[in-house]
Amino acid sequence: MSKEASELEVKILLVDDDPDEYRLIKRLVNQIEGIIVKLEYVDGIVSALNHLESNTMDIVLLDNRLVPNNDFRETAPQLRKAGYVGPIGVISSDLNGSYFQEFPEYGVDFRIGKDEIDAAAITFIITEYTQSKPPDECSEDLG
Amino acid sequence: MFKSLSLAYDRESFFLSEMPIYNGGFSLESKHSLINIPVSWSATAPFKLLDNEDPIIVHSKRSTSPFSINVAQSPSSIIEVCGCKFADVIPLHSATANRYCLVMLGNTELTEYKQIATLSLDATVIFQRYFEIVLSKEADGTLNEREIQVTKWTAEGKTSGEIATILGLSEHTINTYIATIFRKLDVVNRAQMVSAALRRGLIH
Repeated sequence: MSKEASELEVKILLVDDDPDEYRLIKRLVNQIEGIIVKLEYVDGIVSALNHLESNTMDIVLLDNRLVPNNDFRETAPQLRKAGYVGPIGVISSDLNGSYFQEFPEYGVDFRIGKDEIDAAAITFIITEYTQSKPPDECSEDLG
Repeated sequence: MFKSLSLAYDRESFFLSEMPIYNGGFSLESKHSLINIPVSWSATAPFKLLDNEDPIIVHSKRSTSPFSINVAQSPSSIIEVCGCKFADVIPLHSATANRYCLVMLGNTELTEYKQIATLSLDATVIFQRYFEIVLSKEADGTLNEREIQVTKWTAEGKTSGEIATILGLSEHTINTYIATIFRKLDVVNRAQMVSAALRRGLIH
């Protein structure tokens, strides 16, 4: 089938030390209609930093606990320090830790439970973080 | 919560806006307005500015009691635009003595005054919470630490992307902060934002 000219194309980087998660999310993104999602995968934060050096990603999905790191409070700032300014979402099987409340301070845009991830949730995330433009008045007007 | 309230009372849409202190229309474009109506309605003249003759305005200015309007008896331009038959009008006031008006639109009539009184009581409780969480913070024009940082870097001529890099946040987050600052300082662009922040001594 030929690609619709207007079809949206989004590149997502999944950073997770469990390759099964990649297979699972890959299946889910294949169910999304109207958006071409290119899901790329790396298994650690160092690989993610290398990947971002040579690739432009629209969204990064970051597993909360990446061995040997503790949690997103150690990994997300590394992505920001490397100059990535796109949206970062932390995925975790347990969002109950009180430290999750502090996620904006660590450069994270959203958090999502692994049990909450489905095609609809991914579609919403893509729309919200790559398609919803800032209000007109937020446009750069000081140049 | 206002949306849940409107659904609970079978209302299709609602809007909340601050009442003008002096004579003048009731604008849904004011910064403290909260609206849940289709975009096509809000673009119409009656929704942009209700004039002083509209029964919603007339009654809201005269009384602090909630009331219902039947469009067949009291023609109202705003109710006509949306094609609804009834409007429940609930005057509200904040702790800072500003008056607000919540209008709920629908096609079923609240026949008993008890229903309107209950709706009004629920709306008052929700409004108090809305005021505590949103309106009071926006009205005092103060900025939190992050918002001040964003304003400072904007004053330095940095773009959202550059500020995101400096603060270790996403561009999306920076734009959200900027939109919040605009509301708090009651400005419409970045130049005004910087100017207002300097004037108020929020940045130097």
